[in-house]
Amino acid sequence: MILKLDAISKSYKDKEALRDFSATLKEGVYGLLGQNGAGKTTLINVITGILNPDEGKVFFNDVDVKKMGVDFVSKIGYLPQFPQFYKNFEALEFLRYICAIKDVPEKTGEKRIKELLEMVNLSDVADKKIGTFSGGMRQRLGIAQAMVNDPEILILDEPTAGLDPKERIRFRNLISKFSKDRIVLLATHIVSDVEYIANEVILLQKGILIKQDKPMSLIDEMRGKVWEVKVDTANNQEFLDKFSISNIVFNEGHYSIRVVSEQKPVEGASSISPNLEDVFLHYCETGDGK
Amino acid sequence: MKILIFEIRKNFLKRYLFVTLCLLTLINIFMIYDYYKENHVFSTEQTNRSEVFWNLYKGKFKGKITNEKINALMEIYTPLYQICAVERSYSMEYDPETYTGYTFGDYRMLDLGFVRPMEYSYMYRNHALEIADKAMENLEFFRSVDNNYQYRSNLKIASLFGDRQVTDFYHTEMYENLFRYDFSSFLILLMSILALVPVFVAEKETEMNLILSTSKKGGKETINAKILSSFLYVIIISAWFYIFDFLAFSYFYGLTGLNNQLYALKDFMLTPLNVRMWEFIILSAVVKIIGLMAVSSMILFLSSIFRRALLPYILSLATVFLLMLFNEFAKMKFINPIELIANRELFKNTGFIKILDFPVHKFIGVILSVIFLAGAFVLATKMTSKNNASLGRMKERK
Repeated sequence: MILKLDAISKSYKDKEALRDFSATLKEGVYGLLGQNGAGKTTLINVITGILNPDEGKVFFNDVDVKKMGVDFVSKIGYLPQFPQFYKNFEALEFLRYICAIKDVPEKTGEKRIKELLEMVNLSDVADKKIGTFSGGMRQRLGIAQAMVNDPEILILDEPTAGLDPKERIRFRNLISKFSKDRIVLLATHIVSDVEYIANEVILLQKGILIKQDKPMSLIDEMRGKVWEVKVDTANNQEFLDKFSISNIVFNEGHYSIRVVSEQKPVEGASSISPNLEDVFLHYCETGDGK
Repeated sequence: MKILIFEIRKNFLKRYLFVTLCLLTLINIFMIYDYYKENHVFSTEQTNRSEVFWNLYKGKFKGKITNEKINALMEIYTPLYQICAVERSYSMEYDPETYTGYTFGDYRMLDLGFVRPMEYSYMYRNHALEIADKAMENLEFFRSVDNNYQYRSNLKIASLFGDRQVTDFYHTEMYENLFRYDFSSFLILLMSILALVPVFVAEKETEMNLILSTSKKGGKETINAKILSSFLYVIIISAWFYIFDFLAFSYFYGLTGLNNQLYALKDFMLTPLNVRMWEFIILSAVVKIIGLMAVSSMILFLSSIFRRALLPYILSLATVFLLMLFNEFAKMKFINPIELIANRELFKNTGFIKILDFPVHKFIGVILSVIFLAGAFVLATKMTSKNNASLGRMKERK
């Protein structure tokens, strides 16, 4: 299966949310990385049909999705950002409702619900109201509802926002479990969400596709561009202003600063192994760097 | 069907709605009791006058009006009339030989409870025939001036009033007051606002609209289910309150004469309806429900255009009050749902509107206008909801 995004552009009043975005997605996990406001949610909304692009088209297996109509919609499983669901519904009841609106036949739906509740570890609370769920439980329910129609395309928008590390790891494992024979698009600004599970990373900055490649390839590109510098207390603000900083650690009276820079920043800086966060910082220029 | 059931479960099977319903039902019963306390002549209370009235009513005068009954009534009434109304020489002393204990009390009880209403019922046929005859007289004139509309109107009036008569005497106090009582309709409007505002808004507040828009049946089917379930809710709540009204009024005023003609009530002397009391109770409720559904369609529209619940709540309340205010202006009544909700004025007098030279009963015109208004709001709601879910220009494959 192939999902092709062809020259997608979308603007809101004066702001260009997406500009000439093109990408081809096959089975596997794609991490859609970008800062807040980079255009991730807009891109997702265009793919799911919630928004119409100003220009460009979306193709699924070489067919324009607009011509496919509800056939395309039925291939999508979507978990939006910060879902609240219905607080007075029980989890099981809610998934049955999702089966109804996704037109999943009753017998198939019941079997699928049972399997999914076990996979997301919510079987014990299936008869509890969603209003009593923690954030992590709600997100797991969210991925279960997104999977109920066995979608070919699974889209998750910031699924780990607000989760503690343990829940985040659990969620990553679930995504990996569900990624077989499916296109999974995981939109996030948390690099660690995609670092370990994404087959490819799509970097988005101000609506433009910066990079699309395997995580290891992106990291390899950063070799020789990530440095460690030790500075004393008095000088660290100089570095914060001048360079892209990916990490600062205070240790034994001085600061170890991790700098992303094409050139060696200062004498005494030592080259270190890059990671995906460095890639993100380099291309997306988070707040403290240039 | 499944989606409809889920929409009912989602929007209307909520504890706070049940609690509010119980509370408002109690308030309604209390208001009916309070209304009854201010507005009753004879009731089911254990007072001397009421007891005597009901004994006489059930024992002697209820049912078919016969000469024997009239004579029996006049035999008791005439001397009292002479003493109390003509000579004004009645005693104020307690008299155990009288029905109520007092001469004037007897006179008033007989006058209000029997003589006047029985006279109205007995004389109604003459009154109706007068109207029919006048209408027939007008036919020749309107035919001569080629005024088809007036000709047809007068023909209709002649036909409506020509065969009317009230052959039976029944105590009508319960119906007079039941048909004047509007407070329960106001409570239904409050319950409607409370339940219907979240119907569309809640999907946006919970971000479920995004999941709905990416679901095969999250578009048209869900929107239709929301509208249908909302109307079902209004119908059920209305039936609940109107049945309670009927039971409460029957309890306080006494239930009698369900099969009597509607025009046996003086207020409805000129009604265009040749129906019985029980038929009018049902018809009036149905017409009220149509009006309530029209207001509900406006509430649903407000729900569909906002993302948060506060504004739709405020605007819905404002809409209801504005509709009540506009109903005071004659020109606004024609398309105002409140005219159907407080519908006794609509059915009191026979009036027509002209449609292609044919006279159509005014109440039919108002009902159709309000249905059209409701339809317009339903359509607007569907369009707004569809845009909000925004499947873009995706067409449904057949």
